[in-house]
Amino acid sequence: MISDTQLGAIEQAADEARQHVRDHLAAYGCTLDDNYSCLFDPDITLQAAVGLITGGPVEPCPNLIRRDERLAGVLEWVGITPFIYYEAYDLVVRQRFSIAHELGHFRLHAQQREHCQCAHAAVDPQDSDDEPLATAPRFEREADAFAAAFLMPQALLRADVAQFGRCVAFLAARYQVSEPAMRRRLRRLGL
Amino acid sequence: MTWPQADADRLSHLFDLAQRATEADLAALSLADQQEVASLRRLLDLIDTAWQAPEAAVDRVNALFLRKLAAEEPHHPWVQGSVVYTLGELIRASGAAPESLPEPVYAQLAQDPTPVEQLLEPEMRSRAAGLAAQRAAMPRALISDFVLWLNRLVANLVQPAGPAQQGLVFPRRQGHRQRGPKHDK
Repeated sequence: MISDTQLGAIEQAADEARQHVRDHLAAYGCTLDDNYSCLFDPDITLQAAVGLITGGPVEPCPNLIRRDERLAGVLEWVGITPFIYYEAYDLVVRQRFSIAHELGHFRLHAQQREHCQCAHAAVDPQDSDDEPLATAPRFEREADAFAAAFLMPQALLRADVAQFGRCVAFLAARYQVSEPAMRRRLRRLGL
Repeated sequence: MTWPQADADRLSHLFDLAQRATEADLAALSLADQQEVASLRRLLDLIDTAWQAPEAAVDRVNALFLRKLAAEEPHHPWVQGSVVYTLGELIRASGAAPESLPEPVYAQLAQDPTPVEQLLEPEMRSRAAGLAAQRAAMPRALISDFVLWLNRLVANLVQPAGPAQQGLVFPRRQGHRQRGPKHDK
């Protein structure tokens, strides 16, 4: 399990990343409501938001495979440039989670500059509402926690639950995440 | 459907021959086997012809290869691309912009004097490219496309071979689609 202290640090890193996107977009003369996540803005894609932070390409790749294993996403370094690829044939909600998961590796583990090749089982597991297995590598669990915090900001989600109620299908559609991911996030936040 | 083991072995052998055997090897086969190998070759040719790599995949492999080549053999003619000094020169050298960019915006960006070195680091890139986008009156809805396109262009840049040389090299790209007037279909 990831400790509460680590989770707190990951939540903070995700908040900072979203603020980072807002700062970058301000340079383009593009202002966003401080109280509203840039992730809901119809003009700014998640790929572009993540690209603003990493400075590298964020692109779909059909049949994303490394070492004979099908993957949901990868973060690869060419020199100092990070390349994020995600599976082109995955559902959009899974693609979004994969992109945010790779951003998690970039923000949390980038100092190693190691390639991160993330299998479907390690990113937003669809067949289970449980947390990723404790046997999964720690950095994969951390990246998943980052992705959840980035895509489903705690303050916004709490406000939405208070306003709209705890309808997982509605909230999942609103935040463009899978229902298992939303259930895990609600449970983690005690909602 | 299951194949008898002997048939499966034979097909496997002929398939192997269809891919690798020389004409001299084939001459040693029976006429029936030769015809079967020829049929397999026609089938493989059809598959090869029909297979098309997505453009993004081709671009990615091309860019990674050129970066590796530039690092290992900086004087190789394939990496002797255009030296670019400004954002405008980079955009012109790339030759391909998102089709969604309106012509006046593209024309303005293609003349932008922002030094290309300011695009290397993400924070500085946003400040510099953001100003360029505002000067070009880029619509808000096109910022996402522009950001991702620029990230891809900058990822292709390599340091010039000479230590004192300014600017950055945008590798020459073979057979890349050029931006041009849209044609009515």
